[in-house]
Amino acid sequence: MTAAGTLNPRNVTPAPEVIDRMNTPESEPEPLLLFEQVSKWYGPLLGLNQVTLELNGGITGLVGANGAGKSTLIRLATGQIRPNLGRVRIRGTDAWDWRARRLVGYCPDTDAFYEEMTGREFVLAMARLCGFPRAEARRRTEAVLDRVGMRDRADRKLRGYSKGMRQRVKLAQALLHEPELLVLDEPMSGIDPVGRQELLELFRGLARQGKCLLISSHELEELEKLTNHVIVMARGRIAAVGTLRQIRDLMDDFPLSVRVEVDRPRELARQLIDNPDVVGLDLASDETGEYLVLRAKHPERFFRALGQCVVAERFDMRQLEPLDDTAHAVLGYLLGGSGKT
Amino acid sequence: MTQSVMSSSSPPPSPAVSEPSPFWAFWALTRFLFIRLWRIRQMGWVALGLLLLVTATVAVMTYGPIGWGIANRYSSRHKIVVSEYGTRLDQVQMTAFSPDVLGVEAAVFAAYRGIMADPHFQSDWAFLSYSRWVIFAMYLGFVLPLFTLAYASGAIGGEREGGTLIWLLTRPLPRWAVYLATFLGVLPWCLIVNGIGLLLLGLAGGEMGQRAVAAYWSTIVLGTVALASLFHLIGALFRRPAVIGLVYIFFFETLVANLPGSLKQLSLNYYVRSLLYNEAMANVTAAVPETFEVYEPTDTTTARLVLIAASLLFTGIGMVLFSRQEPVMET
Repeated sequence: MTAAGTLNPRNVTPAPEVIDRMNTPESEPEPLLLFEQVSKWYGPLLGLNQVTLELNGGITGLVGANGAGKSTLIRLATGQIRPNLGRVRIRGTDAWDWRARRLVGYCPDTDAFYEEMTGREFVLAMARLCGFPRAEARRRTEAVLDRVGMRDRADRKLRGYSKGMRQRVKLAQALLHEPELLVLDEPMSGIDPVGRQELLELFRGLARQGKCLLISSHELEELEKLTNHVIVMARGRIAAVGTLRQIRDLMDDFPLSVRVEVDRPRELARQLIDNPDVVGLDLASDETGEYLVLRAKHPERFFRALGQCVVAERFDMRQLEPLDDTAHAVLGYLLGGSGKT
Repeated sequence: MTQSVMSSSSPPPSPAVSEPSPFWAFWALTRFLFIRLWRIRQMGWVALGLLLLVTATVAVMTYGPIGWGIANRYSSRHKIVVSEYGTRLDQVQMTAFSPDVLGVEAAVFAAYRGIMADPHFQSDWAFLSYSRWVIFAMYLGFVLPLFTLAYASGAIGGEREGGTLIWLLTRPLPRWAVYLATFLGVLPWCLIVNGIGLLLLGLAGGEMGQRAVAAYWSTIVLGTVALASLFHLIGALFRRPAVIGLVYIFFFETLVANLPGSLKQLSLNYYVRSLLYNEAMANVTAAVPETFEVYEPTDTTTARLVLIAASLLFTGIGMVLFSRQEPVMET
């Protein structure tokens, strides 16, 4: 399994909700969302690199930096684009096929609306475009507006809506046809703290009803409140899947390679050789001179020690460059993003 | 924030009540797009301005001193208006010639005078003159293609520019149906605006205008459908459909359709012109004025079949490409 490169998502136990669904495979043999070795290029750019993923229920968070492949994954799952290699399936149907879209509700991150419509008109139009007859479309429109807390504010023009209200309207239209899978791209952006709490409660309620939610966010902390099943994306790959604890443990056990350029590399090597987190240490040289390649576990602890050593011994550090980009990106999220490990 | 408390525990709308139907979705999309396009687009304003200008010019010409008839035409060769030919001929006949010559000349001139005085001839000449300048040059050359481009290329192109195409593409509806439904939504607008254009020019053209509207309207409908299907295709496939459409109108249609040789058979304009020409010829009994001609026009049946086939072909190609290709999005 090459899905996540060195970090294999299949090694990680899925979240409890996912296990619940997985225990009853007889009734629904086809996975709700399945990525099989999916790669996607945009010209020479690789958007997604051999991603394998299976979702069957519960709430799954999708995190990653800009350009990490989140959007590509979401657009593939919602059938907006097609993979160059591999397959994306929704309950066995190719995600590109229109029948798959009956099972998928999508809340895009773009903020383009028919601005001259009111929120109610917009949701009603979307309901009609789903193929519901007029009366049914009206009924569903009121139901979903109620659900996102917009029922009594839906008669204003969309152009006058705040960011948060627009997010709610986008969410409302995704719920119209009661899809099994909800793909929500940055649904929390622009929503005030009170609204966030309401949305989190709504998401939990949807998950309790058996829906599968895939929620992208660049704020790990936000997702942490909602789920402990997280997909971390980096450089077009799934860098890690699992609970945040498991991902952090994985990161700790996974040696990180760093290239260190410093004025006295041999002396620094001597200082670090006894550090328990350092599992490898090479002295190499190129046209810029000698440098160290370090391999260390527990990155956060290691970097703290390295920093103390450099300051204490007054090393002149010219460059510190992680050699494993995937790990680097994950690290950026786990350490920098949430600020706690 | 009490007003916005969410009822996440409320029961979901039961999906069993009514299954969504792609059929209803299709017609809902057609209707949706038709209503969306009520708003006149930027290109539409340009075309409308042009139409008003053309209409005013035509009205001035129609109700001005010269009109569309031959009588008040100025002949630069003879330095007189055509209606003065008779007087000039009389003067010529007064000069001393041998009786033989006079006899022959009198016979020729009599026929000429007869034709010139014939109201049928005068009316036909004016009709063809109006057709040549107003319908062929102005209406077919600018007004119809620009109106059609403004609307047809905006059906999908406008949604893309506004970033709202995503709402249509994520509905549970086959992509080919999205393409076809948007075309059916925009086509009435193309017909309406082109129809208004033709009517305005017809009104401005007085008697000749009414005759032209009656003779040409069916061809205009066919031509509009064919052009609209092409521009809808361009709108679906390219990021800047208006530019490509304008290049097509002014370089390909205008230039190629007038070239001798078989290349013009690739242009829609050629078939529309052939149809109009045939209609015009069927409408007149007298001779053709010097400037009214279409280079090797094809027969009516072929032209109609080609236009219908082109409409079906462009729409078919669009449906196939749109359902296979990833949508072109604004970047």
